[in-house]
Amino acid sequence: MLRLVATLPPGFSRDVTVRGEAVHLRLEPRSAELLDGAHPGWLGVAARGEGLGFETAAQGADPRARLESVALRDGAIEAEISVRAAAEPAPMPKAAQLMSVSSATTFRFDTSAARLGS
Amino acid sequence: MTRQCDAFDDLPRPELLRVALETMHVGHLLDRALMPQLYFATESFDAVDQVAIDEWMGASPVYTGRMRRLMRIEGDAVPAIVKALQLDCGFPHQYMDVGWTMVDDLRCEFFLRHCSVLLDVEPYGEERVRGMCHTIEDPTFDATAYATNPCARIRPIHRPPRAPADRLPHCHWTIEIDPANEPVGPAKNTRAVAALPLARIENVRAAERDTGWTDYARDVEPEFKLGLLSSATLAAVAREFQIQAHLLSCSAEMALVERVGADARRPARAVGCGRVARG
Repeated sequence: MLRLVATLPPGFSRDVTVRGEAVHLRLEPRSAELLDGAHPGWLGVAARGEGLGFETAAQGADPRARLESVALRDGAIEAEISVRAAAEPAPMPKAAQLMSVSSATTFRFDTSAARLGS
Repeated sequence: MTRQCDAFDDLPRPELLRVALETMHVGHLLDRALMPQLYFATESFDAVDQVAIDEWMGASPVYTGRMRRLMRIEGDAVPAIVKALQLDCGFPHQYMDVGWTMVDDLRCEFFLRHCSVLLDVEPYGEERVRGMCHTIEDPTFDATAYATNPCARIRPIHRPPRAPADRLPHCHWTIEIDPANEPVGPAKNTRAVAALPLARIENVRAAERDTGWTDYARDVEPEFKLGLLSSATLAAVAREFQIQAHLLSCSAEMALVERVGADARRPARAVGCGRVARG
C-alpha cells in the first residue's frame, strides 16, 4: 500500500522494508527542491515531516498501524511504522468520516476485461 | 540518479489497471476530504464553490499540458481537448461515465450517461446542484479547454437540475472553437502552480513489456479505456494521475490560504484521503 498510495508525493523513490512488526519507509526525492516544507499541498506536508498522512495511509491497509517516528535524514524522508497484532484498530479520522457521505469513497470499479478495454 | 517511484511499473497488468483507475479517482477523493471541512469552517457554500473553482482552474491547465506531452496529444483543435479530458482526473472513468460525439475539428458533444457526483448532490437540493453544475462547471470547464485552445468554449445543451427528475443522460454539452471568441487567459493561480517544483517532475517511461497504445497520436476513440494502453504507458499515465491529484492539492491550498488563512496548511486532507484511497 505504501509503495502505491497516491497521496504520498510523486517524484520520490519509495523504499519499503518490513521487519516483523516494523515497517520502514524511505522517500528520496529525485530533486532536492522537492524536499521543501514551504511547497504547497501534500508534498509540503510530507516535506515538513508531518506524520499523520503516513500513518493514515498505512491504516488504510491495516488500522492497527501506528507511526513511531518520521524524520528528514540524509536528504530523504524516513518513517517508522509499527503494526502490532495486539494494537487496537485506530478509529477512522474525522476527515475520513466526513468523506463517507460521498459515493466516491465506496465506489467500486468494474474490472471486467470488457469494461477496462483489455 | 535516484529512481522515480516505479511501483506502478512493477505491477502485473491486471493489478496495474485497477490501481490506475483508483489513482485517477484520487482527485475526487481530495475534494470529498476538503469540501466538508471547508463548509464547517466557513459555514458558506459560496466559499466551497469558490475554492473548488480556484482549485481546478489553477491546476487543470498545468496537468493537462503535462498529459498532452506524455501522450503526444498534439494540435489545438477539439479532438486534442477531448483526448485530454479522457485522461483528466476530473472525469474518472466509470465514476463519471462520459460519452463523446465527434463532429469535426471545431465541434463535438459530450454527455454523462451517469454522473455519480450529481447523484451525491441531488439529495441536498437544487441550490447545491446549481452550485456544482453551473457555478463551478462554467469557469472550470473553460479553464481545462484553455490549456489546448484559449478560444474554445464548453457550453451546456442541458444540465441539472434535472427535469424530469430521472432525465438521462444526466447532462449534455458542446465543445466549440470559434476564433472570434475572446481568448481565455490563465486563472490567477495557474502560473503559480506551473512554477512549482512538483509541476516539473519528470515522468520517465519504463521499457515496453507488451503491446498496446504508447501514445494518443491518433483519432479520438470515443470509447477510450485505459486498457488500450501498453503497460509501460499505463504506468506512466497512472503517475500523471498521481501528479494531477497533487497539483490539485497545491492549488487547493493556495485557494484555501486566500479564503481562510494560514490554517489551511494542515494535513487533514491528506489524512482523510490517505485513509480512503486504495492505491
